[in-house]
Amino acid sequence: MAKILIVDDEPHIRLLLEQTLEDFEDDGVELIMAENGAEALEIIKAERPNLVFLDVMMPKMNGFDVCKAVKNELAMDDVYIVLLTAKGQESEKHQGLDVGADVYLTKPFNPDEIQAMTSNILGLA
Amino acid sequence: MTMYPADSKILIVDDDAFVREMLSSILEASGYRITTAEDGVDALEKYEADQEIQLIVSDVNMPRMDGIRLIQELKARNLEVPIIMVTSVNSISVAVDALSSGAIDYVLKDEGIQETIEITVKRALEKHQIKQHNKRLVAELAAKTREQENTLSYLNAIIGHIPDGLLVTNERARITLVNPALGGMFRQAAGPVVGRDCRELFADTLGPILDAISPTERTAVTVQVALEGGRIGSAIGTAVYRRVEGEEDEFIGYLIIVRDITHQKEIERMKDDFVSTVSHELRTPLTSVLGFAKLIAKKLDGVIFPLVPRDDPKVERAVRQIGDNVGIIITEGERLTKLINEVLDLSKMEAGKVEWHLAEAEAGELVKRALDATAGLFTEENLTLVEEIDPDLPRLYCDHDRIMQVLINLLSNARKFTDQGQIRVRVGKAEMGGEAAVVFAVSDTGCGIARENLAAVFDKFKQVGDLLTDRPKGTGLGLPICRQIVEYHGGTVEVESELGRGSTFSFVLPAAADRG
Ligand SMILES: Nc1ncnc2c1ncn2[C@@H]1O[C@H](COP(=O)(O)OP(=O)(O)O)[C@@H](O)[C@H]1O
Ligand SMILES: [Mg+2]
Repeated sequence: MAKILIVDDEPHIRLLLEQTLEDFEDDGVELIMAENGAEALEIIKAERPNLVFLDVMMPKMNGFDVCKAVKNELAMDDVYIVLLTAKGQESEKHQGLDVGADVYLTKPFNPDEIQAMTSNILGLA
Repeated sequence: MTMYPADSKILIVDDDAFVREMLSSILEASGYRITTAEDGVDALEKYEADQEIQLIVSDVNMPRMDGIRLIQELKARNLEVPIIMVTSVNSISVAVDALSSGAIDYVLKDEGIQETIEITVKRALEKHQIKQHNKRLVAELAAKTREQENTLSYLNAIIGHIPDGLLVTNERARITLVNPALGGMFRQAAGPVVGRDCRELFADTLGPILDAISPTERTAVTVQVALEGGRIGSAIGTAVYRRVEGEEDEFIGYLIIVRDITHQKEIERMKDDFVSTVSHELRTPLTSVLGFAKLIAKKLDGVIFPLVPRDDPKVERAVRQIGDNVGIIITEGERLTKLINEVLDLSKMEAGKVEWHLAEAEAGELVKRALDATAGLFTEENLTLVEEIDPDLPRLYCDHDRIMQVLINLLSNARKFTDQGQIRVRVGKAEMGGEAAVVFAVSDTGCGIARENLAAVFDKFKQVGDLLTDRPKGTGLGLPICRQIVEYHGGTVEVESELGRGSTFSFVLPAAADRG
């Protein structure tokens, strides 16, 4: 059963992502939430989600560091990471891809795009 | 030297009228003008009253005031006039007294006086004139020296107080002058540095500037340097030339000025941080607003509206309005997003903080990609899109994404301001200052721009408002960004337009210089 982890310190953004993705629950996908980087890292280690939507600016541990830990230190290549940032600076995009993120999106994101991306990555029609 | 005038005026002082007469007639015969006095007191009065008197010929023994006293009195009054003493044959010692008191010469009162007085007067006048002349020269020299010393201490005071660091070298880069401010900026400049090699002493700060200065091209070189205590300096260097009359200017050394820009940098950084913080703080709520609006629109269309009975016209109207209103929230939210992106972009560009990713590019390829990206815009039936791409174009060297951004901007403007007709994209060969270049032009048959508004369309936040009433409002930042991007690449942007008939926005980029 596929798992998607949603990580953002803003509850409204978590809610938005949850509602955007809740139709996938009908396909048996499990949605998991985390409020900060440290919690996210614990969940990733324990649950090994297939897909992570990861905010960048968060307390405790930022998205870049989580991404680096997952992709480099834990070498969990099969965890697909989508970085979501509100900064929208180009230098950050490079930084994001440097730490191993698979995709880098700026907020505000388009829910349609998130849905399309998800079914693509999880191989759902 | 001008000679004393032959008709110089002479004051003859003697209590003996006979002697006065005699001397007067001798000297008058030689062409001098004569005036007389009877004793020292009389002489002083007369001399003080008559500016023309250039020489005094005086007896020694006289009542009231004798000759020696007369000399002393004149001296005491600071009156500089040569005096010849006429002394008796038997009083040589008086003559010595007279000379040591300041008489210029003396004559003996004997039968030879006729000849000697004439010679002595002449010599005395000459001698006095030479003396005066020398005195003037010495005074002038002193004044000049003083003036130069003044200028020097004036310049030194200025240099000493320039808040910027100053370093001057000779033509072999040996340091000839530094000011105190420079000493505070570099550890190496704290001690004596005159005579040291600038390249060596400041190997990793100011030295490299000298190598960057070309003594033949007279351009200044600006470099950022690290200063003492983690501060930041901006050093500007230039070659120094001395003007040589009728010849080429002579290269005499280098001059470097260092300004502490730590504070400026800090402000720039704060402004930067501010813009990106604001952008971040706006994006977060905007993500919710826009995201939920889109979800609502979807749920309304997909789930709710189909279930709403439309028999009641009020319900029917409400459904239509809710759909429209959510649509407006979405469009405006998107406009706000665009505005945030563009403000961030433009402020980065203006601060020179954009990272440019330059690479070789094919103009036609860029245009095709821009057209692909905007394909969604050109689906209207009464709008045709025409491409005209010269297959044989010089290659470009540019930031692909940024040039695409320009093209997409121009294409979406063309679409936005054109209801029907044609949008034409042309890419062709061009020239810029005699060098190969490529011109990109986007023409439309839209509303056009009035002549008086043409110049303003590239300005920040300028929108030709009245024409826009029935269109989605833009941000007014698209074209200024286009201009920044194109000008960064050494190109130019242009617009031609006729109100009601259409517009052509074009830009020219220089071709890639032949590499290798
Ligand atoms: N193709 C065009 N036809 C007519 N007017 C145009 C066209 N392109 C730009 N303009 C005018 O220039 C203004 C500034 O354009 P721009 O900087 O792209 O901002 P925006 O499109 O966001 O309003 C527009 O608002 C419009 O008035
Ligand atoms: Mg525009």
